[in-house]
Amino acid sequence: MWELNKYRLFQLNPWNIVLIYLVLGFLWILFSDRFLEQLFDDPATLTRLQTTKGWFYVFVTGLLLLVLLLRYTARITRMRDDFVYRFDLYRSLLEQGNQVVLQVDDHQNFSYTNVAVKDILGYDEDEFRCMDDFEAIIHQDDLDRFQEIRVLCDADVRDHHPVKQQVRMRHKNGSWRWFRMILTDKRGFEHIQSRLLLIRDIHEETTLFEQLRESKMRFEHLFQDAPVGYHSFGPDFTFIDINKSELNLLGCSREEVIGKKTWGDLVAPEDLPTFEQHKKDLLENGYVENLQYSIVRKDGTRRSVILNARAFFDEQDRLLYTLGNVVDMTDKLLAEKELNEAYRRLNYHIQNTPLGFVEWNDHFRVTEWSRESEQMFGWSKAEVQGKAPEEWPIVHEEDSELINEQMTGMLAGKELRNKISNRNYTKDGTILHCEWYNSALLDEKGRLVSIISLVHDVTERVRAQVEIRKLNVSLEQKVRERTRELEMANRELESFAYSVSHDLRAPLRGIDGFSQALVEQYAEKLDQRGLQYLNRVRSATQRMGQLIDDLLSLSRITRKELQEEPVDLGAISTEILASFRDKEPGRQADFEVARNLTATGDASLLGIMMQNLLDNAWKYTSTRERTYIEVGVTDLEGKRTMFVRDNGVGFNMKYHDKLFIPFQRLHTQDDFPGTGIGLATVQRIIGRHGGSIRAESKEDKGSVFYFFLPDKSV
Amino acid sequence: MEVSNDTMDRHILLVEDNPDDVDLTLMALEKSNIMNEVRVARDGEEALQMLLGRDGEPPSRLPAVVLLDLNMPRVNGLEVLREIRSNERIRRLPVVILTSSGEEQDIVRGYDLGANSYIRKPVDFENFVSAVKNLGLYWLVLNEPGV
Repeated sequence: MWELNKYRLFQLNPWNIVLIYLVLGFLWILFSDRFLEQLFDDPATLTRLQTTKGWFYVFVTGLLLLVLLLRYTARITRMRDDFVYRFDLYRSLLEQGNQVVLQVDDHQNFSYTNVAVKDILGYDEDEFRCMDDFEAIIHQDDLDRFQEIRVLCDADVRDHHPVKQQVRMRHKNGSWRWFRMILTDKRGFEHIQSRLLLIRDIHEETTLFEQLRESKMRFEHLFQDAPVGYHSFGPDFTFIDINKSELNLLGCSREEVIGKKTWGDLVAPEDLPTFEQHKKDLLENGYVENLQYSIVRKDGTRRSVILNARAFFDEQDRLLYTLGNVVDMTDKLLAEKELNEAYRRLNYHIQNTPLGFVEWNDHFRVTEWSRESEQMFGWSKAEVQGKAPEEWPIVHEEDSELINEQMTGMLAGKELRNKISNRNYTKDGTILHCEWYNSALLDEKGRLVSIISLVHDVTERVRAQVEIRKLNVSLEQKVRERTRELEMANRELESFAYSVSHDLRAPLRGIDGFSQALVEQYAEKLDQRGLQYLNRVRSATQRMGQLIDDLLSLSRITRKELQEEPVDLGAISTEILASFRDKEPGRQADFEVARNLTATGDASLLGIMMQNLLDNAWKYTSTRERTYIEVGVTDLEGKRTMFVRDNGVGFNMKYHDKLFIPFQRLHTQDDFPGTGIGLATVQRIIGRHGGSIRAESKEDKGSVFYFFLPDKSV
Repeated sequence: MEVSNDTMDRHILLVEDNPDDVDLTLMALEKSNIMNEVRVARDGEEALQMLLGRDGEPPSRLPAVVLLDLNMPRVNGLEVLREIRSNERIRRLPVVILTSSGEEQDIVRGYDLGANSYIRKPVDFENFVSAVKNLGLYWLVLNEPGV
C-alpha cells in the first residue's frame, strides 16, 4: 500500500500559503507604518523609509515564496522519482510474474492484461483482452465457480473480500490446465477504481497434490489393510498409531489403544521380563527382530506373534517414536503342532500295523523298515538299511524276475501302485508267502520320491488255500459220486413207481377178477360166510388199488416240472364246489369263495391241491345238516395267506402234526373213507412252490387250512 | 346180444403176457357175450409173428382189433405198435392199448406211436368187464376197419 501521508506538505497547501501571506501582509501594513511614525516625524524621511520598507517587504516575501516553492518542487520531484521507481518495480513484477493479471472495470471489461498471458495461456495481450466469449475457454465443469467470480465484477457490487476459485482453462493450443483465479477487492482512488483478476497456473501443484494424495491413500491402504500388523509407539511406548490388522489381532478398537496402552499391557505375564529386555535392546541398537511373544487379546484368548521394531531418535538421542510390525503365528504354530502330531501318529501306526512296512528310496533301497518287518523277516532295520532287494537274500530266486518286472515300471514313475504276490525268505531261510502292496510317492513334478510297501504274510492262507483246493477236488469227486448214486436212486424210484403202477395192479386185478368168478360161478358150492369172505377179499383188493393210485399221484407230484403262471384259485374252487353239488344234489351246502384269490404257480398242481383241500372239506362236512365251506384270503404275520374253512367234524390238534404225513389218518375208514394221501399231496405241492400250510381245528368245530404261496409276480 | 355173421368173422388179437389177465379178459369178453374168436399172443414177438406171418408167409386174416399190453418181456407193447405202424400192410390196424399203467409217459408215447385208444385196466373186475364190453362192442361192431 502506498503511504500517501508521507507526501503531505506539512499541512500546507496553496490556499494556506495565500492566507498566511494575506494575514502577514495586512499585519505588516497596519503596524509597520505606525511603528515608523512613532520613531520619525520627518515626512520626507518617513516617505523614504516607507518606500524602503515596501521594497524590503516585497524582497522578504519574495524570498520566502522562493524558499517555499523550491522546497515544494524538490519534494514533488522526489515524490515523482519514487513513484516512477515504484511503478517500474511493480510493473516489472506484474509483467514478469507467473500469473496473468487482468484489470476488470465496472463493465466487466478487461482494461489491462499483462504479457504473462502469452506464456500462460498462449494469447497476445490484446487478443486476450478483447476476447468475445471468455467463458469458452473455461472448463464446462468449472463454469459455476467462474460465475461466482464474475457476478462480483459488477458495478453495483461495492465492496467484497478477495475471492479465490480453482478452474480449468483452455490454453490456446487446446490443452486444459488447472488455474487459480483470485479477484481482488476494488482498489484505487475514487475515480480510477478497478478490480484485479489474477490467474495463476496451479496445474503442476494440483497434479502433484493429487499424486501425493493418491500416494498417501495407497500408503494408508497398505498400512491399514496389510495382513501384517503395523504400529508406532511414542517415547513412552504407548501406541500412537496402529493398523486394522493389528487391531483385529488384539481384538481391541483403535480408541482403546491409542495413547492408552503399551505393548507391555498386551503381552502375556510370563513374557513381561523378556519385553523389558527387548525394550533395552531396541533403545540400544535402534532395532529388534523376530521377537516372539504370547499376547492376550481383549477376550482373553492368546495368540503367538513375531515382532520386528525400529526406533527413531532426535539429535539428542532421545527416542521420538518406534515403528513395528507384528505377524500372527498362532495358526502356523498350531499347524506345525498338528503336523508333528500327525507325523507322530502316522509313525505309530507304521510301527504298530500288523503289516510289515518298508519304504524304499528312488533307487529302490530301504529307507524305512518297521518293527513288524523285523519280526516278519528276522532282519533288523540296521541290517537292511540302504540295501536293494537283490543285495540280501530276501527274495525267492524264482520270483526275483517277477519282482524286477513289476517294480521297473513303478521306479520309472509309470505305475503308481501295484500288488505283488511272491515268496520271500526269512533270515533263517524259511519261505514266506507274502503280498506286497506297493505305492509310489511322486513330487509335484511327477518324479518318484519313494515307494512304500505294506507286506502281508499270507503263508498260512496260502497253505490253507492249498488244503482247501485239495479238499475241493475230493469234495467234487464225492459230489459226482453222490450225484451218480442219487441219479441211480431216482431212476430206481422211477422204475419202482412204474412197477407199482403196472405190476402191482395186475395181480390185484387177478385176485378181484377170480374172486368175482368164484362168486358168480361157484356160489352154490360156498356158504354165506364163504361168499362174504370173497366180497371182503374184493373190497380189500380195491382199496389196495386205490392206495397204489394215490401213492403214484403223490410221487408224480414230486417229479413233475413246475410251470409257473398266475392261477385263479377262486375260479378253480368255484368249479370244484359246483361239481360237488352235481354229484350230491341233495346235500344242503353253503359255499363262499372270496375274490382276488390269484396265486403264482403250476396250474395243474394247484388244481390238484384245491381239489384235495375241498374234497376233504366236503367229506368231513358230510355228517352236517348243512355244509359250510369258505375259501378266502387273510393277512397272517404280514403274509397274504389263503384258507379253506369248513364246519366239519374237525380234528384234535394233538394230532395235527400227523395230518400231512402220507397214509396217516385221523379218522377211521368206517367214519370217513380215505387213503391218507390227500393232505400229504397238498403239502408237497405247497412245498414245491416254496410256501407253507398249517391247520387249525377243534373236534366237532370245523377246521381251517391256511396256506401261503410266495408271490413271485413282484 | 345179437352179432351178425359178418362181425363174427372178425377176430381179436390179445397181446398179453400175464395168463391171469388173459383169462380175465376172456372171462370179461364171455360175460359181455362177445363170441368172436380171440387169438392170444404171449409177448410182443409172438404178436408180430402173428400179424406179419412166419417165414415170410403173410397170415390169411388180420384181426379186427389188437388189444395190446405194454409191459411184456422181449418185445414190449410200444415196440409192437411202432412195428405195426411202420409196416405198409398192417399200419391201419386198430390198436387199443389195454394196460395196468396209468403213467402219463406211457399214454403220451402210446398215442404218439399211433394207438387208436388207451384203456387202463381197472382193478375192480366189474369195472373191467364193463370196459371190455364197451371195447368189443365198439371195435367189433361199430367201427369200420380200414383194411
